[in-house]
Order: sequence, then C-alpha cells, then structure tokens
Amino acid sequence: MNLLKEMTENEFLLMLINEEQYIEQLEKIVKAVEKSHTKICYVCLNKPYQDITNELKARKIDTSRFIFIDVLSSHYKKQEPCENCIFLQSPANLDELKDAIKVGCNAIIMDTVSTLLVYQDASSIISFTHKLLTDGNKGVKKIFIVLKEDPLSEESRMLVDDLNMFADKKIEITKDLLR
Amino acid sequence: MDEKKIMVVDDEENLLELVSVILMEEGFDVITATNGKECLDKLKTTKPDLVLLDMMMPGMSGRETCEKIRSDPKTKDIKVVFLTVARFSETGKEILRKMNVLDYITKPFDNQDLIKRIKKLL
Repeated sequence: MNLLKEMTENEFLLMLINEEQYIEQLEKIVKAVEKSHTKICYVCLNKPYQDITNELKARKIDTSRFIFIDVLSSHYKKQEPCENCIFLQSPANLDELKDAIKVGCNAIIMDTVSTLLVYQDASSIISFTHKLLTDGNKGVKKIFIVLKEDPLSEESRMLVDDLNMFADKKIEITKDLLR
Repeated sequence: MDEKKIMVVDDEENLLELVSVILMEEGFDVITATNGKECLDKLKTTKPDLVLLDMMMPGMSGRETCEKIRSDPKTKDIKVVFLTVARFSETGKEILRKMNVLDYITKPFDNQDLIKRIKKLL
C-alpha cells in the first residue's frame, strides 16, 4: 500500500495503528502527511505537544509547517503561549477543540481519536467528527488515528464502525507498511 | 387500504414530533422512540412496516441499532431508512447496503420528498 497515494486520493482517512508500534507507525503516517501537505494541524490527544515534537524531531520530521493543538498539558500546568501550539484547557470540551482546529490548514491529524473515549461517549465523538467534516473543512485532509488494542474494546469497535460510515477509507497499518 | 405503521427514532424531540405529524397527516400510523434502546424495546411488542432511524444518537448509534434489528430473527426483515445530517462516504453507503438499509434521507429534508420516498418503499 502506498500511504502517500492514499492521502492524495482520500479526504477522510481512518487509520488503525497497533498500540505496541505506536511511534513507528505514527512516524510513517506523519512523514507521508508532511510530504503531501503544506500546512498541517496536529491535534495531540494522546501525548502532550512537547513529547510529540521531541519524538518527531528525533525522527527528523520537519515540524515547521505544523500547528499543534495540545489538549493535555494545560490540564496539569499553566502553559506559556507558544508560536506553533494552541493549548486547550480540556480534552472533554469538543466545541473548543473544533473551534481551535479552524486554523487554515490543509491537513488535520487527530492523534489519537480513540483517546477521546476517556472523556466523551462515542456518539459525542461521532457528532464532533461530523462537524469537522462539514463546517468549512471541505477539501481539508482529515487523518484520524485510532489506537488498536488487541482485541479492540467494544467501545472502540463501535467508534471505529461509526467513523467508518463517513471515512473514505479505513486503513489498518500493518508491519508490512513499515518496510 | 391498510394503515401502514412507521416507527420514527430520533433523539431530537422537535424533529421527532415534526416527522410524526407529517407522516400522520399522510395517514400513517406512527410510533416513536428517542433512542436505539427504546426502539429495540418497542420492537419486541410491535412490528412496524418501516423504521425511520436517526444515524447519530447518544448511547446507541443508528448503525448499531440497525445491526441489532438485523440480528434478531423477529425484526431482521423490517424495512429501515436512515435519517441523517451526515454525508455518508462510499464506504458508509456500502455498509448501508450490507445492512439492507433501503434509503437514507438527509436532514434538513423536504416534507414532500420524505413522504414520496417512504411511500415508494411501502
């Protein structure tokens, strides 16, 4: 599978990645997005902005065209304003998150949408996703990453199945794709 | 002509009432439910000719509700139409076909279009 081609051809991609290979698989996805888009909105739901940027820089990914949205860090400590990151107060406030995402990017990476299940029920996440798809984001690539536990919990499975109703394609990232 | 029975399932109560009134004025017998669980509970005691099912509902989504309708031998043959604000992708449309969902009506809808499409299916 050519990840770059998939990103060019589809507007809304749902990507399932294995928990134990999270960083390796994430790297492949982010590199493909970085190659094919000029301005990227990276929503940090799973790890704080600082951790993610350190990981990406260590893997030689140029983040200069990225705008990060961090929903985790402010929860623990007041954050100083930062040029390429918007710090939100809570991952539970999906309206605030939706508004923050309106930053004029041509690709959005949600890393990882399944984390939102800790704070919100699946139907609220589906509703939030649908608003993202329709509210002036036409033509913007949306890459939603779901962490794939083994087996997938009932709630995660429901979320994936419902998101799949709107996704142009669901891709399960396998080891083969990492070669 | 026998009165056809339609179950309308939607968590938005105003819309539920509006759709019910539109259908009743056309002579349909209408029953309502505000979520997937209530829909499945009511299907244990009544068999509508068609279920008009909202896609995005709290708790159990329309897709999940439809899956449960299809998995029960007593309800598996009931006609289902989705009511949705969503833009289904090609993948989503394929899933609808696999679930034997006959049609989907996008909100907001034209009243006459809604009636026309439901009458065509009954």
